[in-house]
Amino acid sequence: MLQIRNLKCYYGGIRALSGVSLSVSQGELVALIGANGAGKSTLLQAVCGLLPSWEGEIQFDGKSLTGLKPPAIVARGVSMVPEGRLIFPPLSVLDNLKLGAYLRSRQKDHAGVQQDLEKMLDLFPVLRERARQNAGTLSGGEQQMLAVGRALMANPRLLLLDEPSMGLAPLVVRKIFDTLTELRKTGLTILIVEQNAQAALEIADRGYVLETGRMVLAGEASQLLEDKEVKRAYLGKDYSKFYEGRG
Amino acid sequence: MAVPGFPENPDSQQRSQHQLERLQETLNRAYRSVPFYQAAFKEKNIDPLDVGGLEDLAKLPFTERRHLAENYPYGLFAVPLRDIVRIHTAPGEGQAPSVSGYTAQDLDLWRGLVARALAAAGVNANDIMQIFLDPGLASWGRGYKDGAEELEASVIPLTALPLEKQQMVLKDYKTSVVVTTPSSAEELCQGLYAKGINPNELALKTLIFAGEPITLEDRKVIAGKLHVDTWVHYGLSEVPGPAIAFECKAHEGLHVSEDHFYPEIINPSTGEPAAPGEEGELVLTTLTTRAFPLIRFRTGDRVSYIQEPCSCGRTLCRINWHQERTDNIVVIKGVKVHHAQVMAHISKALGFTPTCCRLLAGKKGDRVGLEVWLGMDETIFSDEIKELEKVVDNVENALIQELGITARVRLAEGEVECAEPGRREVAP
Amino acid sequence: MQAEQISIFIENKAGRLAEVARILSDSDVNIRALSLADTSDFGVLRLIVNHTSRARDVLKDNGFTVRRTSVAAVEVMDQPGGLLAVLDLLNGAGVNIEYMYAYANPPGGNAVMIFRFDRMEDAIELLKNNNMRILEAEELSGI
Repeated sequence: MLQIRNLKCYYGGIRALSGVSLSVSQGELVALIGANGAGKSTLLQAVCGLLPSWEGEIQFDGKSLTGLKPPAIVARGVSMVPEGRLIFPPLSVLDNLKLGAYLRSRQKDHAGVQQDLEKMLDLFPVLRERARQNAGTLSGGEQQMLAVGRALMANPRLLLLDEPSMGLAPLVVRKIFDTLTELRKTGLTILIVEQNAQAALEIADRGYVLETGRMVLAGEASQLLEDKEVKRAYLGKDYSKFYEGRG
Repeated sequence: MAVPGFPENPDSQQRSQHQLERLQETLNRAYRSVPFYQAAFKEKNIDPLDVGGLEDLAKLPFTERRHLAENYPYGLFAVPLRDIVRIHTAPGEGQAPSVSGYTAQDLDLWRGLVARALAAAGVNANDIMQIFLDPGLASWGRGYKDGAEELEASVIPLTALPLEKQQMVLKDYKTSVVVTTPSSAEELCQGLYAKGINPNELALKTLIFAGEPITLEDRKVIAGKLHVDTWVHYGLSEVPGPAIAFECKAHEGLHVSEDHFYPEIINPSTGEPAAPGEEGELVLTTLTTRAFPLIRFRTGDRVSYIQEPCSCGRTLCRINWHQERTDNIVVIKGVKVHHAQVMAHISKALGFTPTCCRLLAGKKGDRVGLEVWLGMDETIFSDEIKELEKVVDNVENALIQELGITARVRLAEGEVECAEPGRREVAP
Repeated sequence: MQAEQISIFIENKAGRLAEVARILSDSDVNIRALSLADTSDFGVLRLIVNHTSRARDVLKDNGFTVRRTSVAAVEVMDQPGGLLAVLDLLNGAGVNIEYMYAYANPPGGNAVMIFRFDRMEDAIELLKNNNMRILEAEELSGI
C-alpha cells in the first residue's frame, strides 16, 4: 500500500533521512521506532506532504505522492495524527472532529460525515460525553483520542500516527493503543511512529528501527521485542520501569 | 518460511522493495558495526546511502574467502559476542579457518530456510530423515536437523557412524529421507549392493543432495539404483546454509531464497555482471542475518539464471548449478578444500614448498577423498624407497590431522600437468 | 673409495624404463649395473654407468629427477659363502644396508656387489681392514 524507496530529506543543510526505504501492506500495523532525532517524524511529514522538499520515491497504492500538497494526499486516503495532537482548543470536540472531514464536507458528503461522527463518538465514549466542551478542557489522553478521531473523520485507508503516547500516563497509552488494535481489525492500515518501542511493538505486526536517519533493522514486531539490540537501545530501563504496572 | 512483509510468491515489485529495504539495513548495520566493511567501503569512497537501488550494489566491493580468514576469529561479527548463541567453523583459506556466529534469531531464520527447502522436497511429519554427511559438514548437519524438526519429521542426526552402521540404520530404522552429498550417496549405494541389500527392502524414497553439484547422468544412476527421487540443495559452508537455494518438484534448477539472500552472477575474471542467461560466479549478499552479514560474497560456484518462470508457481528466481568452480577449491564430499590451505599444510609437513602439486577429488580405496599429486623434484627425491614412502605418509597424516581430509598422495615424475584450477576429476 | 650411482624417479607406467634406456643409449652411455626398486605407484631406478655426469645431464634435460649417490662396490668371492662373509662382517659391526644389488659382468672372475650403507665411511673402513676389495669409481665405470 505504502512504499517508500530511498527517501532523503534535509533540514536546512542537515540530512535528516539518509536513503530510507519502508513499506506497509494493506491491513498491516507497522511501527517505526527509534530514538529522538532519528528522523521518524520527518518520514511521516514527507509522506503527508508537509516537507518542502525530499528526494526518493513515495508511492501510495502504486501512485507517486511526489509534488502533492497535503489536502491532495488526504484525498488519496492518507491521514495523520500529528505529534502533540494539534487540536483546536477553543473549538468544541464536535467541531474538531468535523474539521477532520473538511474535504468530505466540501464534497457534500454530509450524510457520510454524520455517520462517521457517530462512529467516532461510539469509538471514544468519553468524547460523546464531552462533545460540546471546548477541546482545550480535555485531558491529554482525551485530546489524543480526539486527534485520532479527527484523523479518522477523513475516512483514511492509511492512518499515520506520530508519537501518540507522548506525555500520557501508561493506562491512557494502553487505552489509545487498544483502540488502534480495534481499528486495525476493521481493516485500517496503520503506520505508527513511536519512541515508546515496547508499546508500539506490542500492537504492531512489523517494525522498523531507524537510527540517525538510517534504517538499521526491520522484522516481525514480536521478534524485535526479543531482539537484544532493540532491547538495549530502545527497551531500556526507562521503558521497563515505565511499564512495570502493565499486565 | 513466510518473511514479514515478503509474501511467499512476491511479484517483482514486492520483491525489489523487500530486498532494497533489507539490503539497506544490512549495509547500514555492517558499516556501523564491522570495521572491515567500513574500511572496504571507505576505500572505494562509498557510503551505504549511495545504495539507493538494488542496481547500486554493484558499486560495493566484493568479500572473498580470504577476508574471512584474515578477520579470524570474530572480526566480521556485526553484533556483540553476548548476542551470539552459536559459533561455527568452516575450513578457510590458508592456515586460519573461517568462523561465523549466529544470534538466536539467526538460528530461527536458518531453521525456517531449511524447513522450506525440505518441504519443497515433500518432507513432512511422516518422514524419518537420516543425515549422512561428512563430519566436515557438521554445521549443515545441525541445520538439516533443525529444519526437519520444524517440519516434525523424525530426525536421525549426523553421527560419526561407519558406513556399515549407517546402512543398518537406513534399513532397520526405515529411513525415508536421506540427506547426503553426491559422493557419499555413491559410497552408500556401492555399500548396499556389496552387502546384497536390495533397495526394495528399504523405506527410502527421497534423497537430498547437498554440498556439491551433480550431473544429470550421475543423478539418474543413483536414483535408479536406490529407487528414489532426488533433490539438490545449494549452500555455503561459511554460513550454515545448506539450503540457500533448493529444488522444487519441477526439478528444473534451484530456487534462490531471495528473501534472505540477494544473488548476483558475475564474470569471475572481470567482476562485472554476467550477461543475462550467461554462466558466471554466484555472488551472495545476506539480507536478514544479524551476526554475520556477508556483502557481495564471492562463492566460487558457477551458476546461470533460468529466465523462464517455474511451473511450480514459486517466483523466487532459479539458477542452474554447474560442476566447474571459479576458484582454487576442490570439493570433497561437500567439504570445500582450498588449494592454498592444503599447500600450506603440505609445505609444513615436508619442511619446504614443493615445486608443483595438483589436487583432485579422488578415491582412497573405497573412500572418496583428496588426491594429491606431488611433482618430483630434487628436494623430495631420494634413492631410498622408504624415504619416499615417508614423504607420502607425512603428507597424508598431516592432511588428515590438520584438515580432517582423507588424502591419497601420489608422486609424479617431474612437473605435474596442472589441471584447470579446482576442476573436479575423479581418478580411475 | 666410493663409487657414484645415479638414481632416477620413474612413475609406474608403461615405457618409462625403456625411455631411460633410450636416452642413455642416444648419448652413448653404457649401463654397468642396474637395480629397480618399486612400489605400486612409482619406482626408483639405480644405475652405475660409464659416464655418470653425462648420463645425469641428459636425463635431467629430458625432465627426469635424478640424484647422485655414493655407493660402495665390493668384490665378493665367487664361491659359496662369499656374500655371507661380507654380510656377517657388516652385521657384526652394526652397519645397516639400505640396499644392494649385483654388478653385471664384473672385471676379473669374482662377483661385485653394489652397497648403500647407512654409515658409508665406517663400512668401507671396516671392509678394507678385513681385506675386502672395494673397487674404485674409475675401475667401475671405465671399463
